[in-house]
Amino acid sequence: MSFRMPTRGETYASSKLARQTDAPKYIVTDFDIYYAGAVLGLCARQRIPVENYDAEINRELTRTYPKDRLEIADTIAGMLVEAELTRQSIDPGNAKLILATIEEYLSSASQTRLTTAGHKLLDRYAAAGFRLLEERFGDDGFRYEEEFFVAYLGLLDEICSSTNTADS
Amino acid sequence: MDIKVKAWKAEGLRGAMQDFQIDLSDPLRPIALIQMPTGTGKTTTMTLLRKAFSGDPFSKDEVEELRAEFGPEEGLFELELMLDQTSCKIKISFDFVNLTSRYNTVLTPGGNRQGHELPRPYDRLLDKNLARLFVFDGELAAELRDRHLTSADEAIDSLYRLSVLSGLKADADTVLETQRKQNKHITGQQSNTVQRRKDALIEAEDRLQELAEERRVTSLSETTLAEELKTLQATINDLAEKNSKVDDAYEIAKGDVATAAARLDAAHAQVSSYFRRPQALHAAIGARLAHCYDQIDAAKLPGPSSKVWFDWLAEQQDCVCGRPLTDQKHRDAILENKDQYLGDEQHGLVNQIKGALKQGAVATAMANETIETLDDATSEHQHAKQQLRAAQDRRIKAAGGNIDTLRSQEKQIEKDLNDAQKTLATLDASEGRSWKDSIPLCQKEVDSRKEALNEASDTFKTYQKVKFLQAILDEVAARTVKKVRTTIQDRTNEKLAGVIHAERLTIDRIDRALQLGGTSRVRGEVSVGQSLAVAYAFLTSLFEHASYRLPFIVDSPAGPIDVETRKSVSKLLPQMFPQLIMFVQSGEREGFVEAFYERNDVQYLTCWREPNGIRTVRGREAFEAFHSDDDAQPEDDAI
Repeated sequence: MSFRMPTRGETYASSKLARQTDAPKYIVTDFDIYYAGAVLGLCARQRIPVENYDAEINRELTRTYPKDRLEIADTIAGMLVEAELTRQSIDPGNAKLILATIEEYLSSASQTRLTTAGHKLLDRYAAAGFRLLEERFGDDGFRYEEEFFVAYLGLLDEICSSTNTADS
Repeated sequence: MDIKVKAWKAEGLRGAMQDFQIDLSDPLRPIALIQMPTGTGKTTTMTLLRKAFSGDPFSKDEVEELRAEFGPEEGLFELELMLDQTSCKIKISFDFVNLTSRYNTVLTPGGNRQGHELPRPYDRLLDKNLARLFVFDGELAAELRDRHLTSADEAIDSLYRLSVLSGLKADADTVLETQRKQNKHITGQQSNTVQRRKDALIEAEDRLQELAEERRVTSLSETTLAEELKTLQATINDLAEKNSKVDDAYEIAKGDVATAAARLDAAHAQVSSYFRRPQALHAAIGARLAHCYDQIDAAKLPGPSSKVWFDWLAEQQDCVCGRPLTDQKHRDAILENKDQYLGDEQHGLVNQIKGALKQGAVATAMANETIETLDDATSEHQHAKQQLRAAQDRRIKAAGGNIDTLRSQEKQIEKDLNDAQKTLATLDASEGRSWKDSIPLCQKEVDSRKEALNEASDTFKTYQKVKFLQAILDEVAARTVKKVRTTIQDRTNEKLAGVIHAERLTIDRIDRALQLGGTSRVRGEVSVGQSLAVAYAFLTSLFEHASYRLPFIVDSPAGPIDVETRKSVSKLLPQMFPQLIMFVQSGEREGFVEAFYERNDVQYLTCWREPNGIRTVRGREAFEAFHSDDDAQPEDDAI
């Protein structure tokens, strides 16, 4: 069980994000980059097909959240379930399917709140998030982190606004 | 594992090293301060100590360097150590006629051995890279921060022996290759297939090597170009500043840039604090979480009770309502219907996720204005920079400077830098690229061809075992490196906070080199003193967690450091090393050497040059009396 970095995320980590090295940086770890992709994918409720997993997901990043990010584990788990229930158009009254989804992807025994399947699923959402970034911003990177933030949050706003709470 | 230096001596070498010896064993104390003026062979001594520890061979040029003009045909350097309870002498004999050298090792107990033959495990530990760390090479301080080099990684690798893992990987490959060669039952046709697949593998491996080399070269070029750009921009700034003519527009533009940068920093910091909390990124996220909560709630999950309770009830004499459960069909009904309810674990899990959804739903999201503020601040900063650039150009032109040439150079470097960055991105990408142009795809191609070759050569099972072992070793190496880097980075930053008080200096990342950080937008180069302090904080953190206790030998430890930082360094170093040997000069007394006067575990030696070699005097009085390199010799008993 671990978070694995999508190959597109890898290029953000190595060259696309905040190339101006003297500028202040808040996105300092590879996990921050993974997280950016995952949130985008979850908000768009898009994930790469399972058969593309090996081709688009690269190295193991970390087994659990970094210590100072553990507090987001619950929220990310909630967003994952929300995205899945919406994608699968599960009827709100269908307790059996809702429970099956929760049980498949979440585990209270795990520090990340995710099962192995949940980790893999989140990786797929993260990979889709980086696809969205690439589709919008192409191969060009961002010289400064603030440029990335403005672009990223703008895209997130578009995505969240175009898909309402119950959309898929 | 504990290593201590007892003594060293030199005979028949050039200059002051004609006859020189230092004995620290009478009695051996944790700290030795050795005062040696310039020209008494400190640099040579440090080099010889490094060689003696590591057993690194001497080139002819290096031997020639040590030969004294009109001196003897032979020379000697001898280092005496304690390796835990074993006494060890490492002798290096020089033949100045043939320009050769040879090592000899005398162990007590253990006897005389030809060569640099330290007992296990010291022989594996003491190598050239490690010797540079603890017989501290001043150049290392700058190299640790040089992104062209990999000194920081090498230092970690040396001390924590991470190369053992790559050695094991190579050993596993050797086993496989040996088995492949031994498979003599392969038929002629099979043999052709094996050869074909071998060629295909070599082709892919060669290509991978080329791509990796291209990446390495481009990455270096990127770093160089970024530095060139920075230097050129600093030159332009200096030229503009040097023009002393009053220019209100220039001063205003400078002020505007500073104001815009401060505003941008504040907006940037604010957005980043939201960025780290997903529900704060957009109001829709909270609404979705709330909707999901309602959806689970509408499904009446997790339900009023759990099924374990019904198991328990079915075994009771009486129902909770008080009626006796005498009829078996009532018990069966309870058990049959229990599946409508969740188990304890499921119940807890659903409650947990509902709690998370509820909490996420009520969190405050970042207001649109926050992003707009960042966007505005970014544009304002860009605009202010453009205005300043125009004002700079006017100023330099007015002073007769050729700003057009400088700007054209700047443009060219920016273009080259951009190209280098694009090349790196291309090499790292895989989507829509062929394996011949993409490092990740080429690596996959190599793996797949390896697999094909091993299938053909009937070593598939061994190959899979080797691959499995190597994957484990890779994982162990990756995790170890990550953990060690993080621990060392944290400890170094803690120490830096205690050592450098004037400004905040941190290590953001250890990746090849130490990458310094902080949050200042205009971050200048660190001073030589700061660089040394960073190196000490890093090295002491490295040694702190290592399982070996090594001495630390350093030349001019406080030379370029300011007085305040010296005091902190004088406290830091003795805490971290069981033996500290420092060559100092009288200029290092203030703030540094004088801090050791309060201690009672220090021995003081003062050396100066005489016609036939170096004279050494022991004692604090002589040490204090020796004010400068040209001062009179101290009056004390020579040893």
